This record gives sequence, structure tokens and C-alpha cells, in this order.
Amino acid sequence: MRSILNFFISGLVVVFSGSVKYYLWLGLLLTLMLFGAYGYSIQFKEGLVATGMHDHVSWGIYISNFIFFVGVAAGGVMLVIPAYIMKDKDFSKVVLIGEGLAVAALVMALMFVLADLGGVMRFWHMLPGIGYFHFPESMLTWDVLVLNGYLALNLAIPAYILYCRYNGREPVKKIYVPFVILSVFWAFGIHLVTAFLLVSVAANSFWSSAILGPRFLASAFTAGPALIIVIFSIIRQASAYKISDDTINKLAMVMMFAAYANLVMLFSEIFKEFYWNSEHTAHARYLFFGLDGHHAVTPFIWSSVVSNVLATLLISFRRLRENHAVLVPACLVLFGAIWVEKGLGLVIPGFIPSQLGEIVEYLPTFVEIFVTLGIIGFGLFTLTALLKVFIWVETGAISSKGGFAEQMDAAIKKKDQT
Amino acid sequence: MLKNSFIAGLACLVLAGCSKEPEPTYSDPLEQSENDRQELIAEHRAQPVEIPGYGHVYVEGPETKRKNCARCHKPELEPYRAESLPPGKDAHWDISIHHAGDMDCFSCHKKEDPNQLVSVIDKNATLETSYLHCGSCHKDQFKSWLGGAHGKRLTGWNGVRIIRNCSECHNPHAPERPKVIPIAQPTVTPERAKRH
Amino acid sequence: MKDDKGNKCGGCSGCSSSDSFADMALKKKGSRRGALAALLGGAATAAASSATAAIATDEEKELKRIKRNEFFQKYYRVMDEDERAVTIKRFERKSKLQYDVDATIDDTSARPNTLFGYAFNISKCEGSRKCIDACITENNQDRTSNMAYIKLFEMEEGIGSVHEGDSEYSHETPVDGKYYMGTQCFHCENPPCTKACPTGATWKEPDGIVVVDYNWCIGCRYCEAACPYFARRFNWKEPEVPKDEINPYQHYLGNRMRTKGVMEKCTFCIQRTRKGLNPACVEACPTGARVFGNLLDPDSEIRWILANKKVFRLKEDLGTEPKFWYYMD
Repeated sequence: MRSILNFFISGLVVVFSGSVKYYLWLGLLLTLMLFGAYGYSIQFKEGLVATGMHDHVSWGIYISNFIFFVGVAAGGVMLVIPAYIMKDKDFSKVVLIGEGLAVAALVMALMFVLADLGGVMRFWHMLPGIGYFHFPESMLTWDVLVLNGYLALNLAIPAYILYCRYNGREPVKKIYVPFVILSVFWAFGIHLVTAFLLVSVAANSFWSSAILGPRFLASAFTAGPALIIVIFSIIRQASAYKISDDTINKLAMVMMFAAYANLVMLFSEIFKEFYWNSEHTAHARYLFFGLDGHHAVTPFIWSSVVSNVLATLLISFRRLRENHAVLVPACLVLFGAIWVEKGLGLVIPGFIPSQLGEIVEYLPTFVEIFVTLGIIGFGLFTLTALLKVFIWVETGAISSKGGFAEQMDAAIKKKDQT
Repeated sequence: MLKNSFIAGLACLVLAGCSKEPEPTYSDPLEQSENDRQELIAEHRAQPVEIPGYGHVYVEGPETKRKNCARCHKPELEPYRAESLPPGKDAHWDISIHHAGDMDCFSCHKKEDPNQLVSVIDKNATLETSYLHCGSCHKDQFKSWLGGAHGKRLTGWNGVRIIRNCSECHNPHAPERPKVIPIAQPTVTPERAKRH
Repeated sequence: MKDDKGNKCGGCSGCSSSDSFADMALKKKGSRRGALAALLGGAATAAASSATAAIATDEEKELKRIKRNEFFQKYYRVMDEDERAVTIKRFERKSKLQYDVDATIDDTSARPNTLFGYAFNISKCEGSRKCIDACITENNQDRTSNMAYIKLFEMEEGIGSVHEGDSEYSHETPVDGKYYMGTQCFHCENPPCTKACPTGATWKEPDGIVVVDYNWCIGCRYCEAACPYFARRFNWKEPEVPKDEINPYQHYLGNRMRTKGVMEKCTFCIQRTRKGLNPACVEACPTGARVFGNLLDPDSEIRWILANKKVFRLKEDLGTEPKFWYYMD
């Protein structure tokens, strides 16, 4: 018990110690969180009227971001599979960082859902036992199950491993490897279930598409690694922690294939939407070309598609892909493009035109933007804290023995052989 | 082992989470008391429809002022009729007929007793039973009216059925309904729904 | 939670207070108005005597307690009769304290052998919007956002898709060459909204009415996205109804006062229809284009229409089985 406490205390100490630059970063995140708290206080008092949402577009940037960050959460952990296939030693690092990323992204996703609730204080109505959990009919209850399960899983695995490492013990492979495997499948689960959240709306021709789930997976496989590559390059610059070029290059290759798949599916969808102008394609027409003089999202989606294609083209060339001065910006662009495509371009046009064909546009208010920034700030803080503890334990800064990464590799290798 | 117990635990959680659909509750059947029924019939001055098989349907009665054609149309007043009219005007000059082209007063009203209606089929229609008269030409509407697809029910969905007579909604002299100015659309545009 | 159990648990202060709501109301009748003004206006009653002020805090406390109990109350469908009675008493008292309206909140459940259906005559509707007006008044909808359950679309003859309709018309109606089509909640037999709800706060009653437990809804708006007919409305802000316009004849699952952050919708005027009356829109319709009745009664008008008229429903391909039919002469 005592050692767990020590572990947490030293973790906390680690989180709040660093260079001036690091403090500036924490200060920035704190500012974002304060903005978010201010925005939410207004929303809590006045109700969701403080947001730009209305009965026609009843989900806005909160749910958009929720869906996107679920993808990010899934993307990192799904990389375990290529790690198996390529038998890459360094990929264990990717897995642990991916799990840290998953936790941060999930925290954001769950906070976005809570921010979106009209009666956030009544959310206990959903809890099994004291409330009424409308399972298995409601896809939202599935999402609650898988997201919280995934969060627990991704908190438990790294916590166990790091705690063992902190105490100078070897983590027992038999204990954690099954959970790592489970978490990989679970990663697919969370993203598919989140896609089904929209797909299950049978009346919405824009969402109710069988390809939406696979599209979610492909974009998650792109956005997750893209973010991990960016994080790796930051870690390499900001700490003594070693990540080899080879790891990044392999990640980039996985990302490249996922980006291809994503584009193929995006274009399949576009073909279906535009070959024949039926009433059901009005959402896509609104998204890409605007409808009846309404085109608030058109510039965003076009810049997303164009930058998506350009970034994918860039990373298609091996020499460019392996040049990190090109790769990192390309990853950022790709991440941003998918953010816009999954966020803005998926949820909001689903409501425009509305179910009865009325076109009422949506623009987020400052309150909404503040809350969104606040949640992102909190998520980045979570990520920073997790990575920081991870790197310090990993580099032996707060522990006596080293060689953690090797153990992880061994575990994965062992599993692979059996 | 651990994996199995984890999966078992998960299954338990899912099963426990599966909330059972609560049993619905019912109130007593809805029955209109004879008293309520009679009250409604009295309130609407209703009379049973004079069609075989439709005795359970009631038609709202006309207001008293319109019943009394006989107040003026009396044989003893006949000599004074011409004097009572403004110069150059016929009787009921204020009524203009816009009904099926070339109809005049006596296409429908009996000359001797304007309270009685001349009808193609049913010779006994009065102003109270004018639906019989209307129905002799407007057969489809009449059928729909009896069935419930045309016209307006004045009572609730349960209990005695009292419906409006044709002439309550359609002016028999100009049956096309006049245009109306609609109530403003209470649009929920984002601006109006926002802080005020 | 305990308070909801009412006379069952007995003894605790919460129960006794909820049992004596009526008594308290009687005792305080004299100073009630001033007290309420103090409660709502604050500064406006600076002149109020210290005695009134003391009572004001009492009522304030009571309202706070009511709101607290409201927060912890159970899911309506799992409450037993006593719990429902206590809950209803609490909301009647709340209406008194918050709006100074003596509301009666009814909880009549579904009648046996009843399944409500609705028919709309598209050749008769004149587009006067009297139904919309009656609906808003009857159902105590927020007046500041002008939330309306019903929409009337002006449609070009020859075009059947409501997507092409215009609900914003503001000219004399009916216009030649146009017809009018009303939409509202269609009370589907397979409602996508109730399936979507994560807390079961919306469900289909045995008489076919899709209702919301306003105190159980968490405001996620998944049902609103799932509804194919744009039938659901969200309280984006605290609803406001002028005191003298509040309809005091309320139903627990119908037109009782809502709060911000919950979903609401057309309930076929459950407070009227469970008593045998027609919904307010049907009653207000000047043309008789709206017909309401029991689908299980073979002699009902709605059954006659289904048997004798050519009818259609909106988006039938979705398999939602709306109990709302359009027909024409």
C-alpha cells in the first residue's frame, strides 16, 4: 500500500518538475483549462442555449470531437498488431505510449460527452444498479461500456508495468500480456461501436453507411500514428529518451497504408453520394458544395480533403517519409485534416438538411470553443503527465534498475512464438 | 485463468447492466356515463343523423336564429313582402350565390316553405337535416362525412360522436371556404432561441 | 430517495413535510403572494415586513428541498403507486412555489384496449397554423424560443416530399396550387428514439404514446438525432411561460412544467386523450383535417379512414410504423 502511495507521489513530483519551457507548457495548458472552466460555468448556468446548437443541429463540436478522440484513442493501441507482424523490438515503446495516448484521448472523449449533456448532474441515471441502463438496445450504453472498459484497461496495463518497474521488479508477462491483447481488440471495439452510434441512426442517410465503421478504423490508424510520430519527435528533442529512426519510419509506413485505405473509402463514399443526386445525398452536397446558399463548412472540408491528399502524397515517397523535417509537418497536416473530416465533416452535415429537409446552419459559440479548448488542454495535460512519468521510469530516473523496454519486447516475442 | 475470470466478470457486468423493461400499468377502461353523454348532446343541440344505421351519430343543431324562416315566410305576411324590400332589390338581395354555377334560391329552398329543402333524392330535408340535401349531390363528401374522414367531430375521441353539419363550415350559398391569414410561424431560428 | 417512498417509511421529516404540502399551502395562503414575489424578485420586495421575509425563506427552503428530492427521485416507470403519489404532490407544490399556479398533475396510465392513431387530410388543411398555436398553449411550451411540436409545410402540388416543403410561409392561405402537410411526433410503433435512449427516459406506453420522463432524461439528445421526423424538442434554456398562460391541467408524462436540459415532445396531449378528449390540435383545427381515435375500435373514424381512403405515411421505408396517416379526399 505504502509503495503504491510512494509511486503516485513520486509520479506527481515528476509531473510538476521540469525546465522553464516545460513550466511554460504547463502554464499554457492551465490557461486553456481555465478558459474551459469559465466557458462551462456559463453553459452550466444558462443551459445549452449558450452553445450554437439548436433543435435542427442538435450535436455540435462536442460530439464531433468526442468521435474524433475516440479514434485517436483506438489508433495508438491498434499499432500493436503491426508490431507483431513486423516483429519490431521498439514497438513496445509505441504500445506504451499508445496506451498513454489512449488514456488522454479517452479522458477528452468522455469529457466531451459530459459537456454535451443537458443534465450532466443526472448522468447517474445511466449507471446500472442505481439507474436504468438501457442495454443492449441503446448504442450509447454500448459506448459507455466499451469506453470505460477501455479506459480502465489502458490505465491498468501501463500502471502495472510502470509500478513494477518502479519497484525494480519484473512485470509478470502472464498477467499483463493477455490484457494487452484484449486491449487491442477492444480498441477496434471502441471505434466500431462509436461508428455504430451514428450508423444506427437509420433515418440519417449520411451516417447510416456500412463503410462508416471501416472508415473510422482507417482514419484512426492514420491519425493515431500521426500523433504518435509528432509526440516521438517532441520526446526526442525534449528528453534523453531514445527512440530510433527505424521505429518512426515503420510507424510512418503503417500510417501511409492507413491513409491510403482512408482515402479509398472516402472516395467510394463520395462516388456514391455524387453519382446520383437523390434526396439522401443532400448532406454530402451541403458538405462539399453547400445547399441553397448555405456553405459554412464547405471551405473546411475542401481544405481537409486537399491537405489530406497532399500529405498522403508526401509520405508516399520513401525519401520524403524518412526525412523527419517533412514527416512531422506532414503528420500534423494529416492529423488536422482527419480532425476536420471526422469532426466537422461528419457529425454536423448529418443534421443539415434536417430530417424534414430544413436547412439551418450551425456555428459554435465562444462558450463552446472555450469548453473545447479547455477539454483539449486537460487532455494534453493528462498526456504530458503520463508520458513524463513513463519516460522517467523508463530512463531509470525514478527507479534503480533499467531494461524495461527489453522486457516488454521479450513479452511480445514470447507471445508471438507460442 | 485470469483471462477467463476477466471475461466472466465482464459477462456478469453486462448481464447486470441489462435493465429489465418495467411492466406497464393500466387505468380502468374509459366509459362515458349516460349523464355526460346527455349533457354533451344538449350542449350541442344535437340530433341523431337521420340515416338508417347511423342513429348513434349526432349532428350539431343550428343556432336558433337561423331556424326561423317561418317568422317572415308566413302566408299572412305575403302581401307586405314587396314593400319590405329596398327599391329594385329582390328578396335576400344580400345573399349572392356562388354554388355550382347557375343555381338560384329555389334550386335548394322550397318556394312555399324555405325551411324545407328541395332535394334530388330526399324530398324531406329541412335546414336541420341539410346534410341530406347536400349529400344528394356531394355523394363522396357525404360518405366521408358519415364515416369520419370529412367534417369535424365536436366531441372527444371517446363516447358519443357529435359532428358538425355541412353548413357550419361551408356557407351553402358560397361553399368554397374563404382564404385565411395564418398565425405567424413560431420558428426556432438560432437567433431567436439564443439569449434574449 | 427515501422521501419518495412517502407513507411507507413514515416518521422521517422529509415524509411528513411532503404529506403536509396541502396543509402548508392553506396555512400560508395569506402571505403567499408576497413570499413568492420575494422568492422570485428579491429586491422588488425590499419593503416586505420581517415576518413575510421569514416566511419567504421558509418557502425558499421548501423549494430547495423539493428540488433536491426531485434530483434524487426514481425512474417513473419503476415507482410504485405510493411513490408516484408523493412525487406528484411534490410537483404540484413546486408549481405553487415556483409559478404560483395551482396545477393538478394527473398520472392516469394507459386505458386497456386503446391504441391511438392519427389521420391528417392533406386536401383539407388550410395552413392556418391554429393547431400550432393551440399546441403551444396547451402544452406549456417555452414561449421565449417558441418551441413548437407541429410543423406545417406548404407543398407544391405534384411534389410529395416534405423536403421540398416550406414551413415559413407568411401569406394568405390556402394558395392555389399548394397543399399543406402537418408533421409532429408520429408515435411510431417501432420508435427509433426510445431505442436510442441510454437511460430509458423515453418509452412507448401501452396505448402507443411515446412519452418522456422529464426527470430521468439526461439530455444527451441521441433521440433527437435518431428521430426520422424531427419530432423531438430540447429545452436549450429554462423554459418560460407567463404565469397567467400556464395550463394548470397537467399530466406527469405530458404538459407539466419542464426544466432546462431535457427533451420533450408531442404526447398526443396525453393529459386530454387519456380522459377521452381529442388532442388540442385536433380540437383547434378549423377544417377537420385532423382526425384522432382508437385504432383498436373498429367503429372509430380513424379505422373508417384507413379502410376507405387511400393513405400514406412518411418515410415508410424505415419500418418505423408511424401511427400517423396522411389521406386525401
